[in-house]
Amino acid sequence: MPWLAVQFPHLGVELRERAQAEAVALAMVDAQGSAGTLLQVNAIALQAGLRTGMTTARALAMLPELQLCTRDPALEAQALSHWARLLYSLAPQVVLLEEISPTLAVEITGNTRLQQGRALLEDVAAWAVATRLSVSAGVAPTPLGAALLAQWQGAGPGSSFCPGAVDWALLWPQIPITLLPCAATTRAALLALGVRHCAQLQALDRADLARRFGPEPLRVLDRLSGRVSDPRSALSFPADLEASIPLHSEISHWEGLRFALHRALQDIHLLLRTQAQASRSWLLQLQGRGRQWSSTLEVRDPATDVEMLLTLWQWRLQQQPLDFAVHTLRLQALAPQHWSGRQVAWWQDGAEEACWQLVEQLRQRLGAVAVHAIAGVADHRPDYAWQRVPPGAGQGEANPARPLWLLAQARSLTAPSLHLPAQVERIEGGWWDGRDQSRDYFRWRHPAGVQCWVYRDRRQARFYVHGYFA
Amino acid sequence: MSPSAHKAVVNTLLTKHPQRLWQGLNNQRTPGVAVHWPELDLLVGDWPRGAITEVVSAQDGIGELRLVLPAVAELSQREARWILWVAPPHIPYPAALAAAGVDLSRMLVLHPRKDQDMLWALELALRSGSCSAVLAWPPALQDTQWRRLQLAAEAGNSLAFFFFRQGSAATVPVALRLELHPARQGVDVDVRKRRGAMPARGMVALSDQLALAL
Repeated sequence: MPWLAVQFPHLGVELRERAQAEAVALAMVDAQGSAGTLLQVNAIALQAGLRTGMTTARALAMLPELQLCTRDPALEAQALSHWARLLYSLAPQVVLLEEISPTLAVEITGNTRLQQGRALLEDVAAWAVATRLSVSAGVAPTPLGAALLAQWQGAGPGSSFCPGAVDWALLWPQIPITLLPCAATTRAALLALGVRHCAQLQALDRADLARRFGPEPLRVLDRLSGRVSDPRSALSFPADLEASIPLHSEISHWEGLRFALHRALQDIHLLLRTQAQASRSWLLQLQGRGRQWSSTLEVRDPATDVEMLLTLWQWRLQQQPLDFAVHTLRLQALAPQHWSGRQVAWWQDGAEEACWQLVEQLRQRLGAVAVHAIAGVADHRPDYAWQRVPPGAGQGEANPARPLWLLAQARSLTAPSLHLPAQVERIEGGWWDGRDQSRDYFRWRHPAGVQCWVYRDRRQARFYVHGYFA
Repeated sequence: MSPSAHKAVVNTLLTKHPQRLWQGLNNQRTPGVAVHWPELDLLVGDWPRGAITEVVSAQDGIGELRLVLPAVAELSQREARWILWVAPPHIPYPAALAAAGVDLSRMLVLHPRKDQDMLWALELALRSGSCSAVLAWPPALQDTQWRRLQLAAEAGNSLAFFFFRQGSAATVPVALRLELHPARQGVDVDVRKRRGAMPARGMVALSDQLALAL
C-alpha cells in the first residue's frame, strides 16, 4: 500500500514571503533577539550566503537588511490544512506525520494515476507552484518511508519514487541514520558506534539495541521498513472554504491589498477545483485595529476566473475607499456548489460569457440598481405596464399604439389649440389597488413638431403629456 | 506607359494595400447595417459599424428613435449581443419597442449617477464587443474623450448612436453627424458630416408602422 508524502522544508519563511509583494531576504529564527539561531532561510538569503544553524548575530552582520520572523504555528496549521484538502482529492486518507514536521502523507493505493508513473508527483509539483511553497515529495510503501524519501532525495533523481515492495526492500536500508526521527542523543550515539545507514542498524542485535537505547529506534525502523503496521488517524479540518492572510505591514490602500487578495483567491480557487466545486458568492473581510470592513461579491458565472474576480473586487474597493489600516485579510467562498466544468460546443466562441462579463463589470462599478433591463407587465394602465427587471429577463407584448418614450412623470399641458379628437383610447380602472384612473389618450402633434401622447384626465378635465412617439 | 497599364498598376496597389489607401465610399472595412428607410438610405447609405454616429436634435420626440430603431431591431434579432441604452432621458417603453421588432431580452439600460461613470461604462461597453448597438445620451464631450470613445468603438465593432441636444465642434472625429429637425410627415435630416461623401439634406418620411419584416 504505497503512500505519498509531501514535505515542506521552508514552510515558515515561505508563508511569510508569499504574503508580501516585494522580494526580501528573510529568515526564521528560534528566538527573538540576537541570541537565536536561524531555522529556515529563503532563497535570497541563501544566495547571500546565509545557512540554517547560523546565529542571528552572525547572519545580521553578513546581511544587515535581513528580515527575521518567528514560527507562527497557527499560520502553518492553516497552510497544512489547505494542502490536506488538496491531497484529499487524490485518496480518502491524509495523515499528518507529527514526528517529521511539517509533513503530510496520503495513502494512494486506490489511485488509478499511480499506474501512470510520475503523474502524481507532477500534480504535487503543480500545486506547489500554485501555492508558492517549495515542497519535496516521496512515494514509498510506508508513510514514514515516503516522508524520509522526500527528505532524503539523496540517491539521485527518481530515487524518491518507490511504490513497489520489492524495490523498497532494497532501498530503505540505504537511508542515512541522521534522518531517522529519534531523539538527537540516540542518533549521535548510533553515529559514534559507526552506524551510518539503516542496514547497519538492522544488522545489530535487537535485544542489545533495545537494552541500550530503549524501544524507540527499533520501533521507527520497523515502521519504516513495513515490518509492523503504522496506523495513523486521518487529518480533519473545518469544512468551510476560507483563506486568512495576515499582512506583513498594515495596509490601507488597494495596491497593497491586491497582492494578498490574489493569493487568497488563488488558494481557494485551487481548493474548489480539486473538489469539483465552484462558488458564486464571496465574502471578504478586512480587519484593522478595532475596525472591520466586510463585503459580499456575487457573480453570475461560477467559472469566473481569478483575474476577473480580482478586477471586480478592485472596483468594489475603489468605490468604497478604506479609511483604516488593515492587518488581516479573510476571504471565504460562500455556498460552494458542485461544478464539473463547462461544456463548450465547438461552434460557441465564448461570446455569451463575454456578454455576461460586461454586465458583471458594469454592476460592480455602477451598482446593481443602475444596470437593468425592461419588461412589459400585463396591466392596462400605461404607468404600470412596465417594470425594471434583471438583465436578460426583458420580455413583453407588442403594442404599436404606445409611444417609444414614456415620461416618468406626466407633464401638465396648457395649450389653447388643444381639443379632444373624435377618436380616443379610454383607459379606466384600478380601484382594486388604490390607483384608480380615468383617462382619454390620444396622439397630438405639438406645434414645435413633437409627436406627443396626450391624455385628458376625465376627473380633473386637464390635459397631460405622457410620452413621445420619438 | 499606356493608360491601361497605369490603371493596372493602381489596381494592384489597391488590392495589395486596402487599408492604406483612401478609397472613398468603397473603403468600408466592415459592412454597415442597413437603415431600412429608403430616403435615409439615399442620404447616408448604411449605418457605420465600429464608429460613432452623432445625432443632434434640439427636442426629444421628433422621430430620433424611429430613425435608428429598424437597424437596432434587426441587430437585436440577428446577434446575441446587448442593445445598450446609456442614460436615456425618458423610459424606453417595452410595448412600443417590441412593436418595433426589438428583442427585449437583449435590452440593457444603464443609469450611471456620475458623468465620469457614464464615460467609463461607455468605453467599456464599446470596447468589449459585447454590444451590437449602443444608444447613449452623454454630456458634452471634450476632444480627448471623443477620440477615446471613437477608438473603443473601432475595437468593439458595434453600432453607436450618441444623442445630443447641441452639436459639438466640427473637428470631432465622428463617422457620421446628423442634425434632425421636425417635419410634417417625418423628420428633416441634415447630414453635416459623412465619411467619404458630401454633406446632404433631405426629408425622411417616418411611417408609424415600424415592425420589421424579418
